[in-house]
Amino acid sequence: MYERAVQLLEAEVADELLALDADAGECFAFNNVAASIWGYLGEPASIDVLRDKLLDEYDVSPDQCDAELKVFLDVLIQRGLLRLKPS
Amino acid sequence: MLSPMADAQPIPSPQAAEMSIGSQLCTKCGLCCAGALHDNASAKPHEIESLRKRGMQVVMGEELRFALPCPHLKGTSCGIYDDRPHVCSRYRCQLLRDVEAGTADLPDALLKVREARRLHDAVQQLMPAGMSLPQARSIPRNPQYGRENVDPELYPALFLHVLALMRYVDQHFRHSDEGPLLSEEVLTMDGPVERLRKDRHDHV
Repeated sequence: MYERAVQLLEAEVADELLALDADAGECFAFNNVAASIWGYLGEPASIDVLRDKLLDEYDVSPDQCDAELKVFLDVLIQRGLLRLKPS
Repeated sequence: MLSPMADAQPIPSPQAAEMSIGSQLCTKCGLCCAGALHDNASAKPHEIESLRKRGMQVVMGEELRFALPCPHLKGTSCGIYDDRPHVCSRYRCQLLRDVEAGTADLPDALLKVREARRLHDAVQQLMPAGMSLPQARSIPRNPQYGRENVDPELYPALFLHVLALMRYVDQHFRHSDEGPLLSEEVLTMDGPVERLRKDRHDHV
């Protein structure tokens, strides 16, 4: 399961989400797909749940979705925005 | 029997059509006058006296300019339209240029104006009394100014919403030859250290 590791202040800008980690003083820009994933992570979720939600929302092949979702989740973990929750 | 011409409307001249576009777009926007795009606007030497008489702050530097926001901006309209400074009648933001050139359509441009106004209003609601929009825009480059002049509880939200407004203005309103308001090197609350991280996954 993945869960958010930080609370971000968020501002929607057209189809982007601008988010500020006020404690770290860092700002992030999420495109619409990344913003969707971040939104799904409002509650802890498994990668299967995240993938299913993306496949419902976007016209993308399951293989491509799996691969890019995993990369993005790893990026979020590397940047301290996300962590793996022990199940 | 009605004449075949009974419903005919006069065909507007190209100039009238252009005014119509500008009129429709600009009177719903006003962001250039509010100081969302620039800190000040250029002025002509012969305008100094009239600018001062009208309560506009003249900035004497290498170039003669007057400070924004313009005190004659009423909502999103000009209160001195018939007697406005020369630069105001000449200036066209990138969005207006695109619509006039036919590379963007008016309904889409009006949506962009509406979004920009929403971002502007969010910043205005967070700004302390007496702070101008150009001063708020300076916060990402000068966080110390923000910390000294903004309620600490509101500061992070103001910082974020200023960034949001500047980013959107850069994308749609400022000319490419003007350069961006928002350098990607100045996006932390503590100074010019980190870059804006673009978590772009366009093809997930």
